[in-house]
Amino acid sequence: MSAFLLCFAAWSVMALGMDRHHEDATGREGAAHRLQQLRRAGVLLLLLSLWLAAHPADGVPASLGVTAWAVALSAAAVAVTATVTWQPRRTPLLAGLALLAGLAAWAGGG
Amino acid sequence: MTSSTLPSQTPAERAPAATAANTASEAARSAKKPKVPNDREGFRQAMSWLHTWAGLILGWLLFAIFLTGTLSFFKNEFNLWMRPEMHGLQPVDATDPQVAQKALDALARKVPNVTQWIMHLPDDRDPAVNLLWRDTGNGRFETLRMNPQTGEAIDARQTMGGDFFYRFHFELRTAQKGRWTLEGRWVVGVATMLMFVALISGVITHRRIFKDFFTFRPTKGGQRAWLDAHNVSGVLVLPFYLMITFSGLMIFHTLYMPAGIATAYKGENGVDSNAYFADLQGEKAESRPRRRPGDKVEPLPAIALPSILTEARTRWDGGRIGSLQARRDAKGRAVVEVTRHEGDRLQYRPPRLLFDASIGQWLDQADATGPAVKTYGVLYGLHMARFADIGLRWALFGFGLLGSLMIATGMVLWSVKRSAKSQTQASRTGIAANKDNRGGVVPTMAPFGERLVAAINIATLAGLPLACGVYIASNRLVPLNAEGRADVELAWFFSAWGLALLWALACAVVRPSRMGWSFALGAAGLVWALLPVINALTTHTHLGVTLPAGEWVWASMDLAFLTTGLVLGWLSWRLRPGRARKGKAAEAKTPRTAPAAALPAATEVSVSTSGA
Repeated sequence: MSAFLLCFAAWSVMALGMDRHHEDATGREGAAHRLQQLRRAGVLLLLLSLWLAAHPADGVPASLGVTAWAVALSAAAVAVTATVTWQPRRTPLLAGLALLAGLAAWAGGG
Repeated sequence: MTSSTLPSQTPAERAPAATAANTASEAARSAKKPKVPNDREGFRQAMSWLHTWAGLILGWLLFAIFLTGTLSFFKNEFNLWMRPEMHGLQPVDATDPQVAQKALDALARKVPNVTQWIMHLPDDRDPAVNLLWRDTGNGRFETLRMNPQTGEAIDARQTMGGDFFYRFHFELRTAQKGRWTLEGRWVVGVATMLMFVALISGVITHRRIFKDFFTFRPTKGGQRAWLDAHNVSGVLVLPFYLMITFSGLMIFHTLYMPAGIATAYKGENGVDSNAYFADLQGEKAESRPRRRPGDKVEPLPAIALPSILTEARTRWDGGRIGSLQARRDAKGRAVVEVTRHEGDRLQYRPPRLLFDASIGQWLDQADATGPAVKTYGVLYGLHMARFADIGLRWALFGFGLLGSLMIATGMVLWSVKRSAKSQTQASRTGIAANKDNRGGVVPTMAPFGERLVAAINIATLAGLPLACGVYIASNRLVPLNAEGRADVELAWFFSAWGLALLWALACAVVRPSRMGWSFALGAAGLVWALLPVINALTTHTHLGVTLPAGEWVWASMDLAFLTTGLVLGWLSWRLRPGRARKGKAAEAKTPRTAPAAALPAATEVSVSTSGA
């Protein structure tokens, strides 16, 4: 679950780093360097979620953790697409919530 | 269509032969972007052609394979739901060795001279003991389902259950006893190969794969929305599609590519494929018995299972035990093989421990450990997804539905694009000619090929869900004592599908009408939505019982059927004949390029995509 939430946050940040979705979400055009920062932050978050998934809780093999992460990766991308399509304004808020919830879930062992 | 959206539309939409307008806009674009060399465009266009035709030729079959394969993620749950006699089995302690022993004792009471048996122990997805046995050397196995508490056989109705979807998706099974299975696997293999080709050429064709990563614009309508839906459902879940397609091909590599085995495994009497399969499964070739039909095999002795099970569990450090098998090996010695639960690791074909059946002594562990065999096992495991818990399983199920939608939108896109093109052509030349002849505008009929594609689209994309619903309904409606009951259920399935095809041909080829989609989807929705009602009238495992008792495996099946019915019904409502004109008037600003008969309206992809 933490993998899904973190991937959701990462994809959202990446979407916010693309001019079309940035404009939909914030109502104004983003500066080029700011967009690039957002995209980089998204990539870093994705890597973080992968690293966490590769070190799952006791008893679960890393191969299963990474497989679950790959599933979460696509599921989160679908969820972000739905968000930027129907709730573009809420994207930043949802991304922040997902990040917090994802970290909490990871700390809680989920 | 504004000029700003035009560049993003051309690549994947481009029909095989580029029109003059396309080439012109292309030239304008490559002038803007001098970095892109021209032959790359040529390559992309060639790939676009490949994508279109590789997708079209077997697209319908692929849709059927994908959809039934998706349902197979819940094979065990279907198996359970379609045998309501299994309701009420209490879960057992998985570590209790008496469960296996009781089932075995019951088998011994029932059949005296068993030569081989395979016992699947109950787990969280299947509450019964499943026992396959035979009393011949090389004959067919019979199946028993047993109460884990008592070992008594449960008299369940004859049905293929979820195994039908499973078998259909990789060998196009049409009868309970295997029929044309090798031929079916070959056809599925060819379709899978084309799927792989379509996936790769689709990625190459998709010019703005990163820029349009999250882009979905259902409100734009027409071709744009269909293309967005096709792209988004294709790109976001691409890792899953590549994995499932490639691993699907690899699972039957021995069938599709036997040349490697023929070269590397030469025996004294030609190709020694037995040695190959032994290597593949991490076994010793000499212990695999080779029997011809009719060979006599000594019946098995009485076997004490508890000590064997306890030792197996110790050796695996408390790992779950999935199944047990007793047989005579090549030397005629009776052995028990304990197989670990498939959910314990990613790699398929779990490790097996071999015991001497008469004295219970441990002999050997069989497990594939070589790098190539391990890779194969992981691919196999990824495809089967036996490792997936309930959350992951639903996610994979959702991906499967998205994949079916990707194929479906692709098929519809072909029709939409074609009819848009022939309409513009018609408005350029045809109408002028018509005016000359008759002094009025006569609606032109689409060419036969396009109408045929539209018909098969209806028959597959709406007809298959209908047939699946009818199959599940037949499970409750066919009398329990009907002869060849399992095959009667299949007959319901294929008849429903055949009727859908006839209906589609009538509605799209003979007399194009918007009713084609609406009615077929509506019928499918009705059947699915009625399933919980039929269930309530014919069994005691309906929602009124299972919901209060919190039996979620049973209840969620009924609820999922109802949801499917509602979604299909809603689609049908969106596509009802009267609605098209109103929708067009409302969306006058973004005129829909496609005519009514060929396609459903634009917006519903949006929701079905999100719903999956």
